[in-house]
Amino acid sequence: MKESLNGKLQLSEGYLAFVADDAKSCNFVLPLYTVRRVERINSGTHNFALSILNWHQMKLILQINGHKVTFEKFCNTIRDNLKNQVRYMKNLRSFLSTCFSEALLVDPKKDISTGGLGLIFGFPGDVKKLRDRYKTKLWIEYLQTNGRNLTLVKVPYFSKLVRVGLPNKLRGEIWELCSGAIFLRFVNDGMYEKLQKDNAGKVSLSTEEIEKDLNRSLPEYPAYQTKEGINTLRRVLTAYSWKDPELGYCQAMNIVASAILIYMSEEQAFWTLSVLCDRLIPGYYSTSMYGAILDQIIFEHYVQNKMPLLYEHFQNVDVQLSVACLPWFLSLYINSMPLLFAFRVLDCFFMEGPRVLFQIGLEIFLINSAILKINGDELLTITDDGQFIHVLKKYFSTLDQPAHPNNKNQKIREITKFNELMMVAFKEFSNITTESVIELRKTHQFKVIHNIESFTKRGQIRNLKDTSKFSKNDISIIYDKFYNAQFYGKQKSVRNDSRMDLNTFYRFLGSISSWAKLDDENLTKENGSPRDNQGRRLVGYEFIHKLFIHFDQSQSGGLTLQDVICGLGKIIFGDLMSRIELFFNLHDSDLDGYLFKEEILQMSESFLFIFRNRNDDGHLGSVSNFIRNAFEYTDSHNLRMSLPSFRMVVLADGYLEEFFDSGFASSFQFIEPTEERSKGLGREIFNALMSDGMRLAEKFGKRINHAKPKSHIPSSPDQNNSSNSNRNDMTSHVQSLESSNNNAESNYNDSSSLMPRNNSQDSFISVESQKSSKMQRNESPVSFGSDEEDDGLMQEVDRLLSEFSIDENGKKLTFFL
Amino acid sequence: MSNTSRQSTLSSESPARAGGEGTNQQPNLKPVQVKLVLLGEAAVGKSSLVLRFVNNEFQENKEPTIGAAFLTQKCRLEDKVIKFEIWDTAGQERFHSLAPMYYRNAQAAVVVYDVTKAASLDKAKSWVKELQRQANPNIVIALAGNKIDLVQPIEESEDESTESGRQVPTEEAKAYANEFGLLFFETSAKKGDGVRDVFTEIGMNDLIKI
Repeated sequence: MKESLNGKLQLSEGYLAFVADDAKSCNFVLPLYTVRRVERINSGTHNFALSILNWHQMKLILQINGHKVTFEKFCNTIRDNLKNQVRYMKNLRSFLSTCFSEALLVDPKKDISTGGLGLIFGFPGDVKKLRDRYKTKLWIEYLQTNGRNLTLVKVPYFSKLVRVGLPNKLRGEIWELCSGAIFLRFVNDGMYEKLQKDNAGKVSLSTEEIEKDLNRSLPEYPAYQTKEGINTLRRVLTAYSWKDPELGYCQAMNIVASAILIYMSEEQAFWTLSVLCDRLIPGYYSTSMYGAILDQIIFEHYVQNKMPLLYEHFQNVDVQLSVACLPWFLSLYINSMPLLFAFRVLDCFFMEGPRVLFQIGLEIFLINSAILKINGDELLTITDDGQFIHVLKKYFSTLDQPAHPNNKNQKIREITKFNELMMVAFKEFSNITTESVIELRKTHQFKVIHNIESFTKRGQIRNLKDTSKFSKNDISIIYDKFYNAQFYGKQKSVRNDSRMDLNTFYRFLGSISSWAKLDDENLTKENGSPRDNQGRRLVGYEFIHKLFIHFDQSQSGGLTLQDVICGLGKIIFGDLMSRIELFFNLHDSDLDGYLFKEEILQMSESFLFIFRNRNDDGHLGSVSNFIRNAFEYTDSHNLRMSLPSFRMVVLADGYLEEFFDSGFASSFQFIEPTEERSKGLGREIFNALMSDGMRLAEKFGKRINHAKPKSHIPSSPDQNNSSNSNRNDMTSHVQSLESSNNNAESNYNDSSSLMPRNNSQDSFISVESQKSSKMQRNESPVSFGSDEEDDGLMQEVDRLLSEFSIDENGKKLTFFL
Repeated sequence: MSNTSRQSTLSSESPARAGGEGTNQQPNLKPVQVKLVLLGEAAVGKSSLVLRFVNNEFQENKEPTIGAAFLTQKCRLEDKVIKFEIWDTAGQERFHSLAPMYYRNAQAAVVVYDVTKAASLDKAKSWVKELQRQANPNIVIALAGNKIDLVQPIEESEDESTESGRQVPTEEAKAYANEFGLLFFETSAKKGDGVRDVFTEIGMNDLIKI
């Protein structure tokens, strides 16, 4: 087949991607490790051309329109990148043996060894009715012409073939190809097994939760009534929970995993889950489920835009769309409609991305309201949640029935409601693009996080067993300060639960009492205790350490919000005597009921530390008085002081008495300082971002990095070209796509010698920069560079600061709260 | 828990059908709607309780509820017809933030725990706390300890400690329920024990309030 198309070519570290100018007629992602040979074609004049021969003997001719210099630079870059990818080539043969398309083309009757549970337990549906053989035949033709698995080129016919439903045995492979999971599986060879091995026998909250659901994931499918099927599902879900322990396991993943495992091998399913969670539906299954909530808001937004009448009706009768739609999205419609139809939706979802979820959902509403006059106006007459759900349930259960049973035309009578849904959805809502979904996700994400956070906050405060006489407002401030300190302290913290470590406690205490405020710049910390810039230990801070140990009632080495509230409560709502006793106990390090000389001196240091910022001179005198009196009153025999003597010594000094009577308690202030507030909403946002420490925030940074084009998977170009700011785009000309039977083996080194030698410098900086930063991730999509992560987070925080200020004045979003 | 309502029993108004309109023999009786929400830890048997009540059946491997499921059941209670509209919610902790969507207008809630899992009662308590602060102030809350079929003593015995596997003593949960003004039941969705009582009492309580 010969065809020539204009389009954009993108070269990255590991991939060469092309998308035609009309975004439809052709696109491909070619991993460089599948390239066998690159040749320069001397076509003279203005056109510069390269001929690329890939593993499957398909020849692509790239004609690059541009200066000679550009072309030379391109050639150099592709040569360098090819060299770096050579190491992957050795894995190709064994990898391809796991691809059904290989077997299909070589010998269609041969059984393949790896694949989904369907190979053993049968695929759902009637093969004849599904016209599986006919569809397979069409696919064989397509794959022969346009390449297969890693080297497949998508032409418009591809999406038609997907739309009519994929044949059973090929389904899994096309899913992983469309989602990009196949590339991850290739470069992470062996990781799935390694995760299993490294974590064998380990248990976690996630594994417990997974166990609960194993027997109830598509239980009607025969494989899941057997040990073999259950074990398969268990391995995939637990491996994923170890790969992303922060996400772990979310109900609905079991539904999705059990469904895709019918068509995919464990490893395929594992990497597909990975693409789902990281890129296609980020945040759906995270602990806060912010992604799912976010997409509900976006869906509502679309309904409001596209069907204002219906939207208004829902508002009037106070029906929330999410009560019905959230499960649709979370389980990708698998649980909502009959399984066979759900797989058809999945076919489209993997091909076109998350927008399909929206399109199908909108279409369901459209069909069931008067707007299309097909299914009546039932949605427009509902008056409560119950009727709403009822109408939709009825619709789903009749999807296999004719949409137009009374039409005279036999052909039209044969159209089922599902056919109609699929046909109209993509036409009617074609303007819902991946770009617009991504854009809306960006617009709304921080509000969602904020809402989730304020919900979490209310929940946590509500669940406090003891509020220690603090007012609601005080508790709220303590909560904010607690998590605020956690947020800033996170990088240095060794804990990954929501408990507060000592370093963070310094920061926290500093935010509520001026004497504990730590001047960060003059301090370095060694072994957990602050030192000044000369490396001297700051003795005063030992007092805070003592307080920390005292607050830590469970002796876990970390403080919960409850610990902090109880601890502070005892100080603030105690009395003169209780506070004197507290100080005594804090300094009585061996808890023997006596202070010895060393301990008395430490006590005086604590006083000096707490008083250090006071402007009066009284405190110096008082502390020296204290020392003098203390030694006077110590038991001359053992040189020790009991609590009653300590009380006497304190009460003998007016300054100290005042401190214990009120000064110490009132040194804790629970106000949001006004300058802090105006300086930035930063604080509030950080608070908002906190959920169980700062897991959510971290997660978010990660997600956002994923959403950027530096996403480690070469997503199909049409899904990603919204953000190509510093990509190496160039206009090129794919002249021919031809399957040649030229079997001449030529290894890559040969071809590199055909590359031009002269290095010209200009106009190609973008290639270099991209190479170094962006595509680095191709190689190791799982181990995230932490530096980059932090950068991502900080950038987002910057962005968020500007966004939030708008939000404060404008409308606040109140979803479900 | 009062015994006054003991005598009244629910009778299904129609052959049990989720969402079914049913044939009402007394068409002049307008059903009283009761919005009810089920809450509780994952896999304690929330969906199974509803399924037992609505369809009088039990499924061994019930799929976990994603988001929430909605079912209805019409019942006769004395001279009234009650239409229960039941929101059966997902139990996994991370679905927690979605719960307000379902309980926001509820007149009744059944908070379910598993008598063989002590931790599930703690979770139930935190749900009760949340409901009492956040939900409709008149909400009727029932606490239901499910799965008693797993702990029924092999021989009739007065002594509860002979029950194997039980982690939440009836008395403890009952005392808690009394303290917080909850209706209290122990149920077995599998065998059907106590399930109907939960809804009868809730119905009675709601009728009084309405």
